[in-house]
This record gives sequence, C-alpha cells and structure tokens, in this order.
Amino acid sequence: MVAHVIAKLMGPRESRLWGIVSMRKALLSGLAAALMVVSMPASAGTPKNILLETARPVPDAREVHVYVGQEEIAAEINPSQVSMVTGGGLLGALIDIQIQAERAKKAEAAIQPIRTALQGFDVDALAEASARSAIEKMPWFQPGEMTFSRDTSASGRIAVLDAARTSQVALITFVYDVSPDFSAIRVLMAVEFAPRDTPQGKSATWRLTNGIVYRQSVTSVVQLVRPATDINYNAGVWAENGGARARRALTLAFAKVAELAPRATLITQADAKAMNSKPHKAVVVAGFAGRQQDSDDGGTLLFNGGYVHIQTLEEQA
Amino acid sequence: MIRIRRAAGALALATASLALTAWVPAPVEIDAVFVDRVPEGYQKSKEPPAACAVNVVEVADLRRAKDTIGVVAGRSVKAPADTTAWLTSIMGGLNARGLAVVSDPARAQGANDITVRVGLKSVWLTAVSTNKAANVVLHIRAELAGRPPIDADYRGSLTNVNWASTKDELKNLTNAAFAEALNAIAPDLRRLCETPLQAPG
Repeated sequence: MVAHVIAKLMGPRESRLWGIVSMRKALLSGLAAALMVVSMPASAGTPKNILLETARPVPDAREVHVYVGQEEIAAEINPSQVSMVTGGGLLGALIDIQIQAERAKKAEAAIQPIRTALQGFDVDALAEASARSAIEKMPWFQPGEMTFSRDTSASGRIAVLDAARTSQVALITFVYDVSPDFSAIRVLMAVEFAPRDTPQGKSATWRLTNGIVYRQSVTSVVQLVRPATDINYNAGVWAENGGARARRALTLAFAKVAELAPRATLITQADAKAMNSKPHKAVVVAGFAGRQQDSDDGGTLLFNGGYVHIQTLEEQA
Repeated sequence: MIRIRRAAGALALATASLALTAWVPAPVEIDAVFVDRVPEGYQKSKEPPAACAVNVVEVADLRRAKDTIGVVAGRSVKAPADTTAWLTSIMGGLNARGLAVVSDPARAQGANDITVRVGLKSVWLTAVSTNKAANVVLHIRAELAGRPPIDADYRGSLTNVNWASTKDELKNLTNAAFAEALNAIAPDLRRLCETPLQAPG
C-alpha cells in the first residue's frame, strides 16, 4: 500500500528509471511531458527532453554508465482502475491491489517459459552493443569510460555521479519486457546527461531532477504476427525453438533503439511542436499513444515526447 | 485523455516532490544467512532421509553484476558481500528436505556421497505494479559414482504484494524464491540417490 503511494508520488517516469515499473505508464508520462512542452511559456526554459546544440560539447568527456536493472525479461501488467473509476478511497485501492496481485502472479507464471528459453542469451551484451552503436552515431558525444550496472536506483545513480571523473555523466538505461497481453516484446532506452557537481544549496538529487541536462527515452516494440488473446499461448510462441522469436525480437528492438536515440537528440523545440501538431494523426498503437510520424521501414513511428517504433516480427521460413 | 491528464499530474507531482524533499530510499542488503520456508509437505512427511549425503564441494556466483539484485519501488537491494557463505547457507536448506548436506571439499568421497557443484546464474527482484517478484536460477551439477549425473538449471520464483519495500519483505521474498528452487532440486537429488548402480561398460 505504502509502496503504491510512493510509486504514485515518484511518478511513472522516475519509477521506471529507478526500478522497473510500467513502461506504458512511462510512455504516457512522456506524452504528457510533450504536451506540457508545447504548452509551456518560453520563459520556462528548454524542456529536458530537448538537447540544445550548445549543450552537446562538454569541457572534458562524458563517462558512460549503462544500466540494465533486470537479469531476465520482465512481465508487465495493466494496472487496475477500480479506485479511479470509483473516485478513489481505501476500498477501491485495496481492490486494485488485489486485482494487480492476481495479474502479476499470472504474468510471472506465464513468462517463465520465455525466461527459460532465453537462458544463455546475453541481453546485457546486446544492451552494451546498443549503447555503443548509439554513441557512435553521435560524433559530438565525447564518450569516456563505459561501465555496466544493475543499480538503477536514485541512490545508485547519485553514487555514480559522486565518483565520476568527468564533469558530466551519460546514464543509459535499458528496460525490456513483454507487453501485458504477451503480444509484443519491448525495449526502452533512456538517455540522461547529468552533471557531476552539485551546486551549493542544492541537494544531491537535484542532479537527477531539475539539474539534469537531458533526459529522453525511445522505445521499440516488436509484435507477434498473429498473437492470441491467451497470454500462455503467446508465451509459448515466444519460447518455442529455444526462444527463437524472443531472441530475434530482442535483437531487432535493441538495434532499433540504438538508431532512434541519436535521432532523438536532434529534436529541437520547433521539431517537437511540429511532430505534436495536427497533421500528425493522434493514434494508439500496441498500447502506446502518440502522434504518427513517417516511417520508411514498414513499421509505425510515434512521437509522444520521445520516439516509439512499432514493428511486426516477420516469420522465418 | 483522462489517463494522459493523470500521467501529466503524476509527472508534475513527481518532479515537485523529488525536488522539494530530495527523498531517496536507502539501499538494503540481503543477509548471507538463508532463512528457509520449508513447504508443508516436507514438514509432515514421514519419508525417511535419503541414504546419500550431499557434499557441496563448490559454489560459484556466475552473475555478471554481483552487487545489486534489484530495485523495488526505488529501493536498491544489495546482495550479501560474501556470496560463497550465502550460497552455502542456501544449499543447507536441503537438510530440511530430507537430505544430509555437508560442505567439505576435502571430505573423502564416500560411496553414497553425492558431489554437488552449485552455480548462481541469476537472482533478481523487481516491482510489478504494486507487487514485487523474485526470480532465482541455480545451476546444479550433481554426481554419484556409477549413476548418470544431473546437470540442470533450477528455477524459483515468487510474487506477492509489495507493502513497504522493507528489508524483511525483500529478504523473505528472496529466501522464498530460493526455497522454491530447493523444492525442485531435492526430489532430483533423491532420485539420483535411489538410482541403482549402473554396471560398468
């Protein structure tokens, strides 16, 4: 219960980056951020999901910390909405908790065959390769030493900043999971640039909140061709042949976020406004809301403050 | 649209609350001593103890990042510093499942000794909405003279409601996941013990 309240207080975006909570919620928060961006007065400054050209160079270099806060693929559930529908209250919250507990148990049981099939498939290495590939596409990046960690918590990040040898640190966080209906495998890559030093009078967390230089996330969704409504059936499809489909989907998704993240750093405020404007249809695809952008690879590209790319996994003969 | 507005509200609240309170949950470290959750069936069982001793001659932490086992509701969960002691303690849980466990690599190999090598492939905790989940994978290589060896992964997992992400909650969840793995390991070791000696060649 308290954790539920804390999660709500922290908000989806922070919860996701410091633990693994709801990717969909997080993306919705991204959309919300984008909506806030376009409605913000000019005096509010540049939103954190826009990297100004002047903010690209750093005096020394950027240490790179790659985070994968999970050892295996995660399961996601749709949150229960009873308390929202009934206008809040303790009873509604307790019902939500009970419903979510049942959903989580079912999802965790259903995902086990996929986890077993993915044993020995080095997703951490995929994540590192994805981070390296993204960085190579940003010639201005000035990457320093790269490290790997599972500690995505605020305390862990603060410790990293405290120990940094460069004035700015790149925190690249990956989250990968199966959608609540098990029809898709998703990879989210969040890129943050945080200052090492805390100005006088600010708290250590300031570097991860108001002091953060840049925070953007991109997502790649890879769907099954013909998913069923039964999560156990879909899990079986991902898991069969030693998890062949799951392995391909993860490989595709990690490659796609490595392509989208550098592109996202080029978005200007004017671009964001244009991508959020009416000529781009507001759609919901694979559970993600956003404005549809052009995509030349057969998939669907949405913008909701960050990019979300959705593609279908081709069946191999 | 309602959901979008809620998300916007949550985001604004999150930024404001973090900026104002600077609240960061302190990490918790799991104890190296395994506290078992023995299944009821084993407690009530009249099954005689296995005729073999289980000698755990090697424990290895095969994980890549050994420091952190998860982040639950913003709280970092640290593995015990001494993972050898931790794994040895966990394997001791087989005692409560009808197997006599020793951890003595120097022990002279008896005819009824099962030699066990344990590898910790995975242990991780996560939050699933308002719940917390623990997953562990232990690799077991077990040998008993004249019998086909066991070379397999054993998985344990558990999901329950996350009330406050306290150390006790997180510790109990981790232990329960290991207990699930032990529940799967014990019958296989018993079967190995009961397998008739194979004639050579």
